[in-house]
Amino acid sequence: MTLEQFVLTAELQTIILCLLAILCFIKFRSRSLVVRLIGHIFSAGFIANICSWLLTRTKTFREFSNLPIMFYFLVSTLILSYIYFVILFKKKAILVGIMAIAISVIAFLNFYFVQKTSMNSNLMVIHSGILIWYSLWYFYVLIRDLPALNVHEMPMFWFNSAFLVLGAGTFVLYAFTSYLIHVLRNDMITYWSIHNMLSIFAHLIVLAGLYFDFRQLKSGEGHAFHRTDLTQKESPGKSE
Amino acid sequence: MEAEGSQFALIFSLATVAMLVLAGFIIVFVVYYQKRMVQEQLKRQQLELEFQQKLMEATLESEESERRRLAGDLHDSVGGMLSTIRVGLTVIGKQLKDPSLVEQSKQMLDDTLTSVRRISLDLMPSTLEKFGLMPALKELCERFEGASLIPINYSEHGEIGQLPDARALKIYRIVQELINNAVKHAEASVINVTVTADPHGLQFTVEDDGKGFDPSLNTTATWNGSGLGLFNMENRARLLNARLEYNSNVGKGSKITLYVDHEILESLHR
Repeated sequence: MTLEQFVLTAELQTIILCLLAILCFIKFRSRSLVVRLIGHIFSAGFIANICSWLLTRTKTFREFSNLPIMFYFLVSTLILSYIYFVILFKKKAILVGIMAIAISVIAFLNFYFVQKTSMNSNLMVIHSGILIWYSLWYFYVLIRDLPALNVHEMPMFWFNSAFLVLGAGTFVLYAFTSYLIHVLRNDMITYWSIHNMLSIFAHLIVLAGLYFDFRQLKSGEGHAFHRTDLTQKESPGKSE
Repeated sequence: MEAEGSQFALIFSLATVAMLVLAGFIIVFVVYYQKRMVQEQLKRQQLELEFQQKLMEATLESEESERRRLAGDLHDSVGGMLSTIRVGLTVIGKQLKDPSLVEQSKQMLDDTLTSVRRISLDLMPSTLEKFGLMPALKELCERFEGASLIPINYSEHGEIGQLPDARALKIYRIVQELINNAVKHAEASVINVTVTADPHGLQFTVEDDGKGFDPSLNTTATWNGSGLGLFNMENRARLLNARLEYNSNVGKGSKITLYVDHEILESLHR
């Protein structure tokens, strides 16, 4: 794997993030809160990628090029926690607050004392682990409650599958990033290209979810996919 | 370094592939499990529905059987005894100096015999068993007309064949209930009962010019008696795989039609 190929995968990933964000924000008022929040995650990812790329172009701030990515993982973890804890599982919002404080503390401790500005793989490992935990929890609740006749037509099924694939696929990579950088430097590009391709694959799964979301929007069925007690369907655009 | 690199590559690949395979397996399992559960639920619902239907049919069969027995007992035992008593009274009257003394009793006995025969016919119409559904419906209209003094017009259109006995009885009961409702509640000045045969099946229509009703208020009947007639009719129609159509508005009369498809009739003949 060459540097050009790695850059290509990185650019492709960034473009797809932008596309997904736009797709999540079309007909903003009619979309459900879950889709809007996922759109914010993708837009944060897109902005973080652009900012990182811009920072690497400067001499002064090049060493801080990992900072936007760190903020992205922080924001992404918090938004996902809100989606799963509050919207999907109806837990108290204070749990999200506790999670926010814990993750922020870990992130800044890692930034200032452990890995500093060179990388933030520790935070990424935690992010992957949390992704896997949330997705498994949601699948468990899904098979327990069986809310819909065709689970594969629920947008959240696809979003959750994408998070599980992404979390499962990147967990090992993030766990060994430090080793890769310090020991196997030359192979870093290969592994990170694989990461980008996996990320692209996961985003394509998200596209499938957005397709079903658009279909529901068109038919006016309402956004019932993100409740576990899906006997009561909500009307489009109802805010949580 | 190279050996270390390839060793790491192997471990990394295996671990990542294992995680991805596990993730894929979980996703497929969720979809497969959900489909299985839905199939099981649908099967269970189907079985429950079939059970309810069989229970309903058994209840109605037992009800009709009881009615048949009561009608028979009334007609044969009570009616027979009353007729015997009447003959006895006639004989006694002939032996009295003033036969008119027993006339009042004979008249009361005649009225009682008529009531017994009417109750017996209401319970189980013998015309239905002997001559079929259409003559039984015609006689039903005549009896209601006689009892209520509301003109009831009966008409048939198209070629109407013979129906199986059990199903003919169900249709008879539905039409009987429809006419009963029209007579008791509609405050109608005329009632029309029409039987129409067309390529699709049979239609039994009871139409009146009375005060009408709101069908949506009566379809959620409960067992406290409110709306029980419509509930019973719906049940019988369901057992026939037929459907009832309500065309009524408050103040504008009503027209209720029972549709029985030819396919259903043919399947019932087998």
